[in-house]
Amino acid sequence: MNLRVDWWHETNVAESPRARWFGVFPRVPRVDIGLPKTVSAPSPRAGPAGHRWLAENLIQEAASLDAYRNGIEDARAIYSAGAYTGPTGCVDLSSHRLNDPMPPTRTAGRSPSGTSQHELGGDDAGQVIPLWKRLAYLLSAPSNLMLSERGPVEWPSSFFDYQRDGIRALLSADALLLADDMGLGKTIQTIAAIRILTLQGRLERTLLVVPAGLVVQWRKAIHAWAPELRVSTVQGPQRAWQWAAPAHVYLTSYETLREDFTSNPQSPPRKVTWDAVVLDEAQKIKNREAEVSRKCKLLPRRRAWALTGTPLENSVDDLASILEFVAPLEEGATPERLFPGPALLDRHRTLQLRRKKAEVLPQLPPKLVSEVGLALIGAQRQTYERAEREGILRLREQGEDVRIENVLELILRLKQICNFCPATGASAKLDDLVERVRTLTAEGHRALIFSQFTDERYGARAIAEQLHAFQPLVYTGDLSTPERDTVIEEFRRSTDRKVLVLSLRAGGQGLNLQEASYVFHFDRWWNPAVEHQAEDRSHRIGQVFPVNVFKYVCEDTIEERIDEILRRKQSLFDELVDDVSIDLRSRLSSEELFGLFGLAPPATSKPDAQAGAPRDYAAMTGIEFEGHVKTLLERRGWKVETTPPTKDGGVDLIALSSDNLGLETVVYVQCKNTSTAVGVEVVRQLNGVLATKQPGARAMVICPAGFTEEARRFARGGRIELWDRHDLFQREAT
Amino acid sequence: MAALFLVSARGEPLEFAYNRIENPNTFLWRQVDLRRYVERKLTTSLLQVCSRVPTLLLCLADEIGSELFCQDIHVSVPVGRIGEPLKASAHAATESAELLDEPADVHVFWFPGTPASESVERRLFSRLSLHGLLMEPFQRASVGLREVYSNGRASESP
Repeated sequence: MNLRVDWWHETNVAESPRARWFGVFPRVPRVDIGLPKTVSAPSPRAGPAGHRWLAENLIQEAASLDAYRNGIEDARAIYSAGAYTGPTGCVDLSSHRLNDPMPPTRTAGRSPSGTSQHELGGDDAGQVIPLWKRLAYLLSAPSNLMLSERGPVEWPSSFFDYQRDGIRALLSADALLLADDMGLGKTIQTIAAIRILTLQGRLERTLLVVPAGLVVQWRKAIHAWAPELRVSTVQGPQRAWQWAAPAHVYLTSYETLREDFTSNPQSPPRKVTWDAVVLDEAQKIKNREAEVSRKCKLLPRRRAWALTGTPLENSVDDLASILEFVAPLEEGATPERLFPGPALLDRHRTLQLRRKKAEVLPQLPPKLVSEVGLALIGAQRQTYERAEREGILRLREQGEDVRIENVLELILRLKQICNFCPATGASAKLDDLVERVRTLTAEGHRALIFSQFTDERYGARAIAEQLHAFQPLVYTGDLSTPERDTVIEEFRRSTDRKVLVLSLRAGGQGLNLQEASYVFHFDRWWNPAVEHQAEDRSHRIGQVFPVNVFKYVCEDTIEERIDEILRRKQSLFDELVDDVSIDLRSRLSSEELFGLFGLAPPATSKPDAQAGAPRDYAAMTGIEFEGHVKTLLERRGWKVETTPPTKDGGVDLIALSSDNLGLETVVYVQCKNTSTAVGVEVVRQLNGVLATKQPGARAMVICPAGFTEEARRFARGGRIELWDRHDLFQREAT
Repeated sequence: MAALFLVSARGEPLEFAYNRIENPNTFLWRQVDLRRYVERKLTTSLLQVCSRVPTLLLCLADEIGSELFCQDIHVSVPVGRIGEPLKASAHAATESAELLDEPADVHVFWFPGTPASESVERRLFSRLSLHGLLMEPFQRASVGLREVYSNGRASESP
């Protein structure tokens, strides 16, 4: 026994109480006192030598643990119930590990209800929970105390009541879909819950999976809200040791997880059972067939929390896919498959916690949304009308062979002209925007400008170029993660930067940009949920000014016609299912799409008339070939951005997929319409470019003339795909 | 029964020592004397198994008399007996009393004296007081004792 008698000693040892009737004769009363013994949690840092296991006692009362916490008076009543002898001892609680697997024990009794099995280490209802573990749980600081402003844990700022409710929900739930409106602080609620559970010894290893662009933001948030937690950020080439580093929280991106989760059971993300797995922007796994969705759902975990402001973007299948993740999963088990139906809705109601801004944050400054109708004039109007006329003519000429994709291509083209006239560069939107930005910056405000296009002709770069007087910054998908972080940091830090121009897809999610109180949608997106997400970059906690949102719509153009349909469908959807939104592109009927141009859809949908016929690539210029590849990729569901001519070591296009594949996949495309086969130098150069990009990025070289054998050898088995004439024909035909 | 519950400055549990004592023939003894004797025996048994040296010892004034740490057991760390004014027992002349602002109307009887204002013990006490950890851990300790001894289901150590 390890006795520490150096800091205390007994005095008056000789003195003893005196018996009532023996007066002065001292007598030592006979007492039964338990011999002090010590027990300790089975930990590498276990206490002094001689510690040993205490008898495993059974918890016999259902719901007793909850009652213990709250019923001190009740406890006193039980004390007086009778005399008994019991164990004596000392439990070393500083080294307890509540999630340790149970040692082999005799089994009997019942588990405490209302308490997660894993919190006390019980694997099934019949397993014994040792005393040290029960004490470690019961004696940990109460969550309410840790959450309170005057409690032992210091928080950088106080929580709103609804945030406390959210944290309590996370603390008590093994599985939760936290679907608060964007900007209500899902991040800090999650971090606070992780911090409390870690301090209570109930979490040791947490895996946080977030979009690549938000890794730095999460790391900073953890540093601010849980400074004592060790964070291992898993990204880049040093991932092996980053996974192995001792940490409370492992922070990684979906792309990295997809790469590192392999079929090998010893691959880092799957070789441990995580105490908690948190998916931020969980709509990333809405497509259950996507690789990253399958891998996220296979992560062994004791707690599963999913965070998203838009759990239902497109269809109930999205929700089903997300809810498949929201459940603990034992190692080697298969996640339950869910299907749309009443059972799914029941589960959804049970697992989801959703609060809306209007309900919980009446004090948040209002968001004022205005639609700005503009008339195209002069050259821009002429160009637009000519393009629409010719486009409709071409659609008519195709007759029964016309496809919905042809209509979408025309819409895209017309939307570009609504932004900027390709012939003169004139832009009604830009003229209005410049005036508004001038006024708002003079008043000390700053602005975010979103566009679906990123290029220097119709999109973000063109806008930024025209607004150079306001020292704009540009945030697009072709920036590497460090470049993106630098842009955001610069915008936050420097008040001289009045404007941030963002591509809707890259900048519409997860960023906190309360520094700006004006938001402009330079062009409209198909999905209102995506627009709302973008607006909520600014309209969130911390915003002190009313947020003004301006949506540009050019009158008497395709934009106005689509806007009408969007509005009609959105109001219908609002009535049915809250404020979540659908991807209207997938819901626009053929009649509606063709009706935009006064056309009727063909009786049958046939493949592209030109698909079967070989194209004459040699007759195309480099730009035309690039445009052709871009169209081809877009038809296959990719969002394609054109890069500036001098950028990225020859990369011509950046293809992003998220709608169709369910995750952010980036492919850097180099288009080579040369007469001779492409050599290995080109592939090598692209490989070098790829190394500087985010993990998971892929690349592609497309050349109808083919590739040298050396080039093919170099690309084999790597992340670069080579497409020649045959590959192109094959893709065009399908 | 009694417990010695060690917590960190943030309220994290570090160690929990517990014991109980029974006197089958209480009628033979003066209650005051018996109580004092039992308190001493219980406390020494707990201190024996405690593997750490605490910075500060706090106990409830309505449970622990001033004699325990003023006369019967000598410890090298400051001892504070905490209690509400009406419940707090009279303190020995060797103790110094202090009325706290936070939590309101709580007395502390210090032995051997109030810790110096900049001392580690004082700063720790202030922090515990500021963060609601002065009285709360006693409730937890009570819960722990109940877990160990409740319903007679606890068995002897192996």
